Amino acid sequence: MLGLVASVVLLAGGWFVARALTAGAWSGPRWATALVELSLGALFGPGLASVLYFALVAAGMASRGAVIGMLAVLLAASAGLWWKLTPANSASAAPATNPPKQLPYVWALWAAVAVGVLFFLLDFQVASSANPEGEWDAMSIWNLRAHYLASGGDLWRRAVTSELGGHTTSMAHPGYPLFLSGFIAIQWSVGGSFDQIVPIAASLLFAVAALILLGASLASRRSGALGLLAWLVLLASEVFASQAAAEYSDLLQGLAFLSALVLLEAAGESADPRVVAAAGLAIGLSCWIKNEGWPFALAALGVAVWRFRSRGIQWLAVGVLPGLLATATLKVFFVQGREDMFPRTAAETIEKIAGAGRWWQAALGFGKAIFDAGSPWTHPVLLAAVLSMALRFVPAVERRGRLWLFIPIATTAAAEYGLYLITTSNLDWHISTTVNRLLAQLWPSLIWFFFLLLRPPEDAFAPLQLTRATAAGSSAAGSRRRRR
Amino acid sequence: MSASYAEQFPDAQGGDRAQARFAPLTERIPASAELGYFTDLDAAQLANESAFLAAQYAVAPRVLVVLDGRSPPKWAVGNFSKPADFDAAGAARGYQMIADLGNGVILFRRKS
Repeated sequence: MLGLVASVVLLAGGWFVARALTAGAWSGPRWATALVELSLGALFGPGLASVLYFALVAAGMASRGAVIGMLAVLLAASAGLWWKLTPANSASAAPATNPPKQLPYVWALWAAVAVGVLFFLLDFQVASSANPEGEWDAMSIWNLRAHYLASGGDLWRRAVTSELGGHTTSMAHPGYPLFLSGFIAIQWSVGGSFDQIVPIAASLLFAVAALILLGASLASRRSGALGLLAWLVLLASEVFASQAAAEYSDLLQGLAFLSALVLLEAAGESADPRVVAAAGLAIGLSCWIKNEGWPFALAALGVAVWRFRSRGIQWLAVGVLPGLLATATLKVFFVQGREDMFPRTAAETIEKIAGAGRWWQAALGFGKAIFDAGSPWTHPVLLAAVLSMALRFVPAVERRGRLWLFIPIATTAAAEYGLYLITTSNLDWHISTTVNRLLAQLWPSLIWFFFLLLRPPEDAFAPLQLTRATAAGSSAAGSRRRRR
Repeated sequence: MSASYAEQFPDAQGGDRAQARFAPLTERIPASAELGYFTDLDAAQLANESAFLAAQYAVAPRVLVVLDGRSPPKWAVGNFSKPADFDAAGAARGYQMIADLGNGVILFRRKS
């Protein structure tokens, strides 16, 4: 029960931070703005709390009382931030980018989304009931490390040593960051037991937050119908649904990637310091989730510096600090041992990269993962192709103006591809056990970027409606003329 | 697809089963202990890694150490898939059998 209270406090704190930093950045319907803030809060609250929790654990002060005190301070500080920073009239501060037109039969899209969400939740319930401890990496990495973090004393150090796992490649990841494990450990520490519902609920929270943010951000910045269509494409993605109950960090990583891109796009025009700081926070936290966050963060910071230059760059740095500092501190001062999957010498690295077969094998792995991303008739790529033909893309000038947002996605994909080229593990095994998860990290962002380039249905079908209206008008006039 | 996979392979990693099997062990060994680990499973098989993973998860925050010639911990646990001469298996590694905890879980203590 206390663990549940802790998670509610974390989410409330996250919402305060999200509201304080992004109020006024969204111009769409009220429901979309509220959902964007809630989903960003699901990243910010747990993320900041896990950073603070790590500080307590490392200082040897993570008693139950201290953790409850930390949560109270976090809630009070974020409420204070909200009180101080939220503009008085945030609704009018945003540029009106949403087309005011309404698509007819939009209720049908809502109904389809509702059915999709229902199936998603049923799938999650069945998968979680069958495997309440999660899939392999949940038991060998994320939940296991949470167990050590929440066990008190110096036992947490077992979470960051390569001794853990008896030197098996799949279990010894001493340098993996601690966002998810810390978030779970907070609730276990406060609750006083290792309740298996905690990682299940965490897994659902981050999957739903990524789903909500995808559609709500598009609804808020572009069009309601685009947001609904994006939800449908993600709900049709097996690569997303199958990861939701795994209790892994990959959908959380996907949430952080998507949050950073959504916020960079929102900050893009005015470089509002608050939104830039929020983007920085999401970028920094993406490093605190998995190592794949590093290439993304470097690319996102690069494009942010290039886009914003002197405008608000200091706020970007302030935002990045918590996640980046926690990750660097962990890796520099506490991690013992090394990852077993990397080559030990430059010569070994070059030898692996020079193997043409590995390039082909890795490409095939990604291709297969995309093929497996959905069922044949509702495959997300097929749905995207149909939508691009029906709605068509925004003009080339606008497309080029948004391409910078693809750079962090492409960089991360390239880094993940590069990892396969140099891994010392059996490449077949490595690809077959990880490629779906790597795709799951990028999938929400890829869908978001695709929809960013599409014309809103409200615009795409407006000429048609106009033509029909004109035709109806002409027909009526003709009838009147004939009657005369 | 994930739901049908889960229905076909409930408790796919054996986490729930391991927690039930190793519960008597966790009642007897302190949380901070290091435990030597050995098994009758073939080290080259995936089943061996799965069994180790499930056992490690079940006994956390105790940590399992595969006995590989380095200084052996005071306590060790045997994770056996079938009946065997557990005494002899422990003795071969310098351990004395303390208790048969059932379901193939055996508690050993280092000799001397």
